[in-house]
Amino acid sequence: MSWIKQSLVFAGIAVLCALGTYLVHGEYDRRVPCVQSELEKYEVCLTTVLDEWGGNVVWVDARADEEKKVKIESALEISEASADEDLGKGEVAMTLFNAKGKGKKIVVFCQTDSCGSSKYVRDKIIGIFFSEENQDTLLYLHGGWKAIESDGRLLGK
Amino acid sequence: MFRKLLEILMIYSLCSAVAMSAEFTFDTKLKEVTTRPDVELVRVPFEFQNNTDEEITIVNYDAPCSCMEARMVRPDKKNSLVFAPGEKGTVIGMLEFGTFKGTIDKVIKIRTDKDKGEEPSIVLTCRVTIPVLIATSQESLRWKMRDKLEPKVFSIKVADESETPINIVEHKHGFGASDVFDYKIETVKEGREYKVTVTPLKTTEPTMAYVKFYTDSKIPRYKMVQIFLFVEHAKK
Repeated sequence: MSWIKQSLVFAGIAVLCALGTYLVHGEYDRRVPCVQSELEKYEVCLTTVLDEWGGNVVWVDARADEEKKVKIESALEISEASADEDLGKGEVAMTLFNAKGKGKKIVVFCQTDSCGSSKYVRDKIIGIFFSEENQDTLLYLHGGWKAIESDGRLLGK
Repeated sequence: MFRKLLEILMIYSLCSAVAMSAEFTFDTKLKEVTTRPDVELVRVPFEFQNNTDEEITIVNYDAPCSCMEARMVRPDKKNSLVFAPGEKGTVIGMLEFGTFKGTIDKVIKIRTDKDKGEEPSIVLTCRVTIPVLIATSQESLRWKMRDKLEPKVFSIKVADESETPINIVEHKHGFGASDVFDYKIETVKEGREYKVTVTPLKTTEPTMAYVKFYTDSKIPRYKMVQIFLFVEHAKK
């Protein structure tokens, strides 16, 4: 068998494998992968928030202003650069206080996993609103806005 | 045929392993910087060199936070992201912090043509500290429902590293706090230390309030400090 024939056979097998994968698994899943066992403490998957908790949380948007081209309308806005000022706003502070009182979960997100802003904003909220108890109701989102955007269910809400 | 295929696969794996190990050499991948209190823009440079015997190309470099921009410069002034063996470069993190104060970590990610994984192999961390020149001794004061109406005290201190005094020039309640809390501010040392005594007027229902203290600092990030006041449900 010549090398051309061998190459064609391999190419054919690759195409068949790709087709089989598409038929079994469907289209390429663009959602941000989230593995429960790999999460850090207080980190949560978007699927947990939406599918298990029905999205019944207070969202905190920790992105910088220039990153907020699309928003979750109900989200509180607390950016890293002006966290003290944002936390001192009436609606923001009162919503966090009421959520804590009712034991409602609060989920902070920033642009990506590695921006670090959601952890910082979470720590600021903890420092002011939470004493040592109930800290596990305040979480940050794995994948940040990328996860929300690729999932799509929260967009326009 | 299969023996040949196996040989090709082995050679490919070996080449991949060698290629994966080819990376730039950085003096450090974590830089800690303490800034002046009035800083607006912080530059954190990371110098590197291609100490391998292969050419390395930077495919992309990025700071995944909008408060930081990454720039690449070369001492040879070439406008190229291809680094031949021995060539040097500098990645500069440019950080803007608004009214932020305290310590924060921000990263720059660099992907080269040798990277095979999903995540870039080079992650540089800028750890920036902006001095806190004025702060309250605690961020909140708490009472439980049905607690006695006993006062609590906190202080506002100006750090020794502040070259000039910072005076409290105005203060006010928020969220109708005047109905629930009373407070008194006393000067311990003008422009350096203040003592504030807060007394709840009632603890019959859960309440939140704040008191904001405005200063005469010329630097925006030190113009205001605040404390939150809570009457909370007693622990069940």
